[in-house]
Amino acid sequence: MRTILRSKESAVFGLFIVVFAIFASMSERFSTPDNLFNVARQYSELAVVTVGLTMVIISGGIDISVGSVVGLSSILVGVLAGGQHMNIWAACGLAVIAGLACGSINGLVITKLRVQPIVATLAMMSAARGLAYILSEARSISGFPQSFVDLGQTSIGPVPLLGFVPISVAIALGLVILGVVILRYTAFGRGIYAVGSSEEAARLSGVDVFRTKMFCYGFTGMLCGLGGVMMAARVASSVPDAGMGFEFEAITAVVMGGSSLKGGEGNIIGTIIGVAVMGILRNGLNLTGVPNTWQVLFLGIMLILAVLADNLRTWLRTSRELQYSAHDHAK
Amino acid sequence: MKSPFGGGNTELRDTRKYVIFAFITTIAIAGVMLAGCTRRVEKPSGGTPTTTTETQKHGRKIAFVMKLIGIPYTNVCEEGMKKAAQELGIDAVFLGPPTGGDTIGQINIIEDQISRGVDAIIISPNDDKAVIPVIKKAMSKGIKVFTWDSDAPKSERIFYVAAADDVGIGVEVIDRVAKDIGGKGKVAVMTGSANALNLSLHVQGVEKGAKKYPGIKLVQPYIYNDDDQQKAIQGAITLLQANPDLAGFACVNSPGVPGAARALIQTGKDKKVVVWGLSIPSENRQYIKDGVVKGLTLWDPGKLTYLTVKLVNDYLDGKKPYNGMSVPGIGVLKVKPNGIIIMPGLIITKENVDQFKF
Repeated sequence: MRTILRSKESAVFGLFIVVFAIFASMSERFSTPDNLFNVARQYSELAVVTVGLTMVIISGGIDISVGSVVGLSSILVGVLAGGQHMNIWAACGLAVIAGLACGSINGLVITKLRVQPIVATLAMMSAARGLAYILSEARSISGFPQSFVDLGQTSIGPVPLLGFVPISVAIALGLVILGVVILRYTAFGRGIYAVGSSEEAARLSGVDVFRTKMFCYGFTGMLCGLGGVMMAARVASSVPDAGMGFEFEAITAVVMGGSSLKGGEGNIIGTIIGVAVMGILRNGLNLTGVPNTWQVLFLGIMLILAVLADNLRTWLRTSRELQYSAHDHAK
Repeated sequence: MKSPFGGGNTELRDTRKYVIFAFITTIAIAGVMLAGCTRRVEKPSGGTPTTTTETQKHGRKIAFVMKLIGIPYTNVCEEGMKKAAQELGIDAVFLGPPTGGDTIGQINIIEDQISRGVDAIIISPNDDKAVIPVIKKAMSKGIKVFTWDSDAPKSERIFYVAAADDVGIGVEVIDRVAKDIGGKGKVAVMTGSANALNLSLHVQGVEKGAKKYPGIKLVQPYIYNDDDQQKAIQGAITLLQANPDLAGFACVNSPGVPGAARALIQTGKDKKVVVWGLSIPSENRQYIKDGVVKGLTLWDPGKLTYLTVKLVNDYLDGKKPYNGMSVPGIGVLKVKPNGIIIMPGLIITKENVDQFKF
């Protein structure tokens, strides 16, 4: 029990409870299953992307190209299935592969060319968005087959406890479980933490740093590709500016969830609660009719609160330990 | 163990105080802001307690979803919406993504309003095709969807309230010029660039309108000022030299009107040549008062949302808009068969120019 309270997720989970309680008391519509699944559907794409981004950040890197790669993937589905008359599922597959390619390029530039992650992914952010605009001639594409649109609109189930779950939410949940298993229960996952803590130490203890980093960026890129496909299915159109501002939301969720931008720390459960906080915050403000310009401000405040709460907890614990050790010395 | 804010053992106590202080301050600020927003929500129109009671009694909720919010144009739109909502005693919110062109963000907001169970959603789409499915979804749940400011013609939207008819505004300009010059004489046409769609539609309107007056001749070539005041003045002076018998100017972009006025003053022909056009009152106030510029044609964005709220509310009451319908404070509406409603434009002359602050 104590470990749960002390854990990194507790701060962001507390925040989630507070925000949820505030909106539940302000709007009777907010806590209806209908609305909560609406939020879950809207934020399933972000959840998918942050599973990868958490790994990148734990490994001591950063990826700010996530939003642009989502946009590129979304537009590829439209261009290939619409303009090129390709089978819709083949187009989805290619869009995911394109995401994987973008992520792998990020990984290669960072590991082989030794470019700082923020610079390498900044370049990708611009390049992928540019490509999305070029391929689509800056226009949205719609008119997908119903089976594809259903991916973003329909539910499966009944699942025990939850009832009918939207397909996109089920996909996100599956990937979250996969991410948790990789990070927590595999040697490879522990290697990611080791690389983030100290690359040199990791190398000396036999971790393949190149492979670890390539996996983090490549996996993130692939998940962005999947996120773009999911987004195209949800809104039933391919939009070149899809995923605009995603990098901010994704990084906020990861940091809110307790991952350190210095690397070596963090976990996916915290990240997902961070995504949930942002989802209910935006939805709650929309339901209560608060101007959307305020949402940007609230998001910033939430981030500061989460980081401060985390720092406060760590600091109190550290100072207590220091006091004890000072006490021991006095003896 | 590292301290979160640097600082070693000696600074331990001070730093700890600082962390606690920062934490409490942030919570306090967040609390005050949330409280502020809560109050806003309870009285959406910000009006008197009577209005609030009416809101609760009536219980009708509508939501405007703009392309983006937080810019001067949308602020004027929001004021117009609030005014109408207050008069009707309904709950109206004005939403939109904080950054321009955010198609997905706009769709998310529409989905949230569907979830909120509003009676009507009125959209100015960022993308006329991408909103089609979400409009369909809203309509299937019994929520009435309309468009304003910008249309989604292929969607299931019930009607579209347009700020101005691009062609119609050009016709209006030439009609005004024709009236002031007695239906005959040479008229110069001034526009911005040849590529802008709305401007070429305005010019089309001028040409269409001019056909009604056999005595009027549009001077060729037209003046293209590239939205530059200096080019507008220079172009007008050159044209005046080539056509000393010019009777009027028909200008369709905003630097055109003051540009023509300046040119007339410089060549001593002011008040001898008539100027009408699409422009902003603040740039022409003195010219209008002095009589150099006869008047302006444009629209008021606040009136557009005001009208839209009234029409949507009527529709929810079972009253549909019809062609030639007269709305107090707005004028007579044009309703086209494809559900496009056109708000009458605004005519600004010497008599009313001081009423407009923009």
